[in-house]
Amino acid sequence: MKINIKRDSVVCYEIKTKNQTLLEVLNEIKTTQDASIAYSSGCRSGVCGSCAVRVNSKEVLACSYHVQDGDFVEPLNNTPLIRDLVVDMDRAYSFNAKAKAWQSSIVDDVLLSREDEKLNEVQSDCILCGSCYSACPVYAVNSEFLGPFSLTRVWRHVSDKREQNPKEKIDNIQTNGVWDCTLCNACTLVCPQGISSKADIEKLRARSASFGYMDPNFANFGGGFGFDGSPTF
Amino acid sequence: MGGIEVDEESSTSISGLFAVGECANHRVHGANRLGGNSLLELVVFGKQTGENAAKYADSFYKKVDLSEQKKSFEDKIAKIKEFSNEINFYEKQRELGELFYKNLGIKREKSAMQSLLNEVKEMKTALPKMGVSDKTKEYNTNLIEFLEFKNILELSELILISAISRQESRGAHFRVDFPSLDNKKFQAHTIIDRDGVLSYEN
Repeated sequence: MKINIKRDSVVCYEIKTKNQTLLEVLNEIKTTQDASIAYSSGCRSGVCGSCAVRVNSKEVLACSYHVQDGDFVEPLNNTPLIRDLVVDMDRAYSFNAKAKAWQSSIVDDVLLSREDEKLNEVQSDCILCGSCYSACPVYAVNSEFLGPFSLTRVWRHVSDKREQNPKEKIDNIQTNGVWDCTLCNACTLVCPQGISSKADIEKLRARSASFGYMDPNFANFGGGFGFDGSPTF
Repeated sequence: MGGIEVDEESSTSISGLFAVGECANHRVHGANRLGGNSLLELVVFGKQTGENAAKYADSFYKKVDLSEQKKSFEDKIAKIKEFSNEINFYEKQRELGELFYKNLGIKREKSAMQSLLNEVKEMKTALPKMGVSDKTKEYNTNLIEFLEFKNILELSELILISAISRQESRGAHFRVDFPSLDNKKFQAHTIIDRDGVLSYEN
């Protein structure tokens, strides 16, 4: 079976494989054929998020994806390339800080019920693999956009009963944040953890509205909507 | 089980270098670290290590001249890059893993461990015949993995010496040839330095 890997140029490797994961195949290539190939990996079991790459133009975790004949493997999009399949994730990570995606103060008098935990259980599972930033068409053209995983993380904390100042979190994501998303859902389709940043962004929009914010794209229509619902200019 | 020796402040014998979690020995687990107990250890000593490391980072003298150490490391790396690379070290690493599983796993016995120790020493001697094919500087995982393999061999030797010397069975260390406890000699932690000098301490 053949597999094509994008390095300085596209390199085709011949491999013997029987239902192996891409990471197993990469390890085999590295340890038996070509030790110079670079890729990142960690836990080998879909938990650490360090091995995200693109296969046939779709983001996957190398340790979970099973290789098919003729697969084309390349590094994540929208992020500086370090070497071969290794990219620099620092910029994407920095958005968690910029979005203040954490609980703003420690509270010890709020107890969470099982239902409260469920509210953001899925969002808490994010492994920061970066697939969503690679797939996001908004981030591709606006490098200041806070982006999928950091907005999901903001929702994770805004929806947490222990967060005492959700408005501050909402205030912070109005520019290059919730209203810049086109709701195209690309992030949802590539997330290995079943998280939908698009859905989380919609919830953040609803919460923003309840704090008096509105979609600036509508405001830009000037006159708003006419009586029959069509926009007036 | 087993790990880098630390004091009650989670500091190793090198100032500024702290160890915590699976790599450290805080001497809290006895002869077998049961699953889950590692998390308790991490909660307690992780906090302590974080605080101590932050304090150290804040206060240590930052104008130390490291050029000599840097040079020595660069020389070592340059030497490794000249190793002949006739033997694939990845293959040796796989072999070593299998041998450890077989001879230093659940059941342990002197002669099997002794021959494994010889095997490890042979691999150490053969290191210059191994090496890296990737000579670049940027994100060279081939080189990193070779350095890890070197470290694995160093630790393998120390683990084997410790296991051979402990002539009793205790916790996860089961000796077929010494199946019972020997509290008189061995109710203590094995402490071993990089030259293989061994002592028992509590």
